[in-house]
Amino acid sequence: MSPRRRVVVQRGDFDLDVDLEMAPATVVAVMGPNGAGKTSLLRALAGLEVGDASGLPSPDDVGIVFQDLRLFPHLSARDNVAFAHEARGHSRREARRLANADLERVGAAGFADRLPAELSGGEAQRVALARGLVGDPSLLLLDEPFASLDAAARQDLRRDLPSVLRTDRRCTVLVTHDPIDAMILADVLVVIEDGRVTHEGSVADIARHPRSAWAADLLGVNLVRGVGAAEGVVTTSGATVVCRDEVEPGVEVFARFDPSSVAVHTVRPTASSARNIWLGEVMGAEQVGARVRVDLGGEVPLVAELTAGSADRLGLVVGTRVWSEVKATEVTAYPVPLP
Amino acid sequence: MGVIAALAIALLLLPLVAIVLRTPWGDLAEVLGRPVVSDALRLSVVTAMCATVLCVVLGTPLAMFLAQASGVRVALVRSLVLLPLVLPPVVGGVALLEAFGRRGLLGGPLDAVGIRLPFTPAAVVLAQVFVALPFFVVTVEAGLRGVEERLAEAATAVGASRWLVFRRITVPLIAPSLAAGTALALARALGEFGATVTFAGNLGGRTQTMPLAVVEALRSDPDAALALSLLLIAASLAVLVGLRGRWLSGVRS
Repeated sequence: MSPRRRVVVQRGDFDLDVDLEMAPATVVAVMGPNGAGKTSLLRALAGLEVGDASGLPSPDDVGIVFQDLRLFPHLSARDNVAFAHEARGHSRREARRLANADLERVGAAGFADRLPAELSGGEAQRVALARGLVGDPSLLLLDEPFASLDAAARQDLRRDLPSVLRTDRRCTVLVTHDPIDAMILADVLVVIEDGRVTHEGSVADIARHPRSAWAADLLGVNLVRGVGAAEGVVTTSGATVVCRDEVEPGVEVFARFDPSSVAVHTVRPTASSARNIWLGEVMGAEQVGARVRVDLGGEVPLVAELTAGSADRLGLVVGTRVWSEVKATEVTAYPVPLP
Repeated sequence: MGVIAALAIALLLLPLVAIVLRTPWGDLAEVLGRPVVSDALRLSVVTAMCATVLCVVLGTPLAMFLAQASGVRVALVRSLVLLPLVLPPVVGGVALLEAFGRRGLLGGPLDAVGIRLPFTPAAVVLAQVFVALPFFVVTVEAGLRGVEERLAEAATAVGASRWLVFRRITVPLIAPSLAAGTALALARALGEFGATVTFAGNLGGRTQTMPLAVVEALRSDPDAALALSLLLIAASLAVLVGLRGRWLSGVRS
């Protein structure tokens, strides 16, 4: 049986139609803008959404951890997990015994007797995870498991999660908004935009060939859309981006380059061999570690990544007029995929 | 402002203080032992308990229906269900007679198979259920609406049957509302007068509950009337204590 699953949900003017590879022993990260359909996808996979899904395991064989956890407030951590065992037909006593083992496995044995209100965010997340894992489902759905955690709890859970998620038979679908999760936890990243899969592959693959502004922004690369011409890619504002790759004239193409390949000058570079020199204006900046990412508006809006030292030397403030310079050998081009 | 508030408190408390002061405390044990008092007490306790049980059994599914459904028709059903809350109980009694009396809508067929409700202890229970059920339903429905749908969904997502969700999730979460609704229904059933006297009559030892006995004793045996009133006050206070934190705090949860 092919591990590809198709999920179709139609509700009012929202429609979701995605086709996912859900092979055993893999972790699939799902990312996308708000309202793209990530949560609807999870709900449909869990059988909670009226929709059309093919090849899904039976609901008994699917575990879900909701973004808002939904622990039962009147039951202890242990009884929250035991409830799922009871739902599968175990006696109350047996359910509690199994729940103890489950909590142990996710590092939650120490607070089995506490009520959800008495748990920290990280602790509650572990209890919800234990509840979702009851029955050893072949499909586990995690909706933003790190979203409500502080930095320390997030680190702890990221460290512990892989050993819990990996089994020979289980596929885990992880909705997240942090590409780091996709990088360190997942085998494959799926980007959903407007109810459709726009990317499916490793984070590095997608960073090399982003096919939407959202994905390019997410992975921190510059993506310019335009039409192929003899000298390069011509954008809608009339600027030309000269690329390493040949482009077919008249075809819609993306030009992609890394922010670190952009050099920034306050005077127009004259002795430059770079073929791409655009006038722009500083729109904003953000410090990432020892580097500064500068947002530039202008004929080709882009992000330039500079060392903190050079950003300082240039004296960049919002509104500063600058020339950015990118070597053609740093720019790749590829056709815009047909919808 | 303060003066008016004090006046209002006096208006509410003075009558109760009067009863406490006028009660024949010395002979209380003897007065409570008189047949008119002990019969009414026994009948009231038994019928009010039966009525309360019926309210819980019938009212819980009704409250669940009202809490889950929405729409104009349900709003209409809700208004009708709640009508006895504001209806004069005597009218309720007349309505019950027209329904279950010998010449009533259902009374005729019931009479044909040998069941006569009016002027029996069963009629007392029926009258009490009629007036008390809305109190239970309103309270429990509010509780059910407070239970978040997302929790029921989470329970369903782990494969729980509807019955298991009801037993282990819904009921524990609405336990305070169930307790409050039960206490209110019990208090209302204990105090029922108008519908009872109309539909069940005032037969000593058979349909004469405490409130009915109070009215009758007021003429012939004022001490017995005071003793019964004191009992009813004590029962009401017990219900209030049972509701503490819900109503006494002044904030409805």
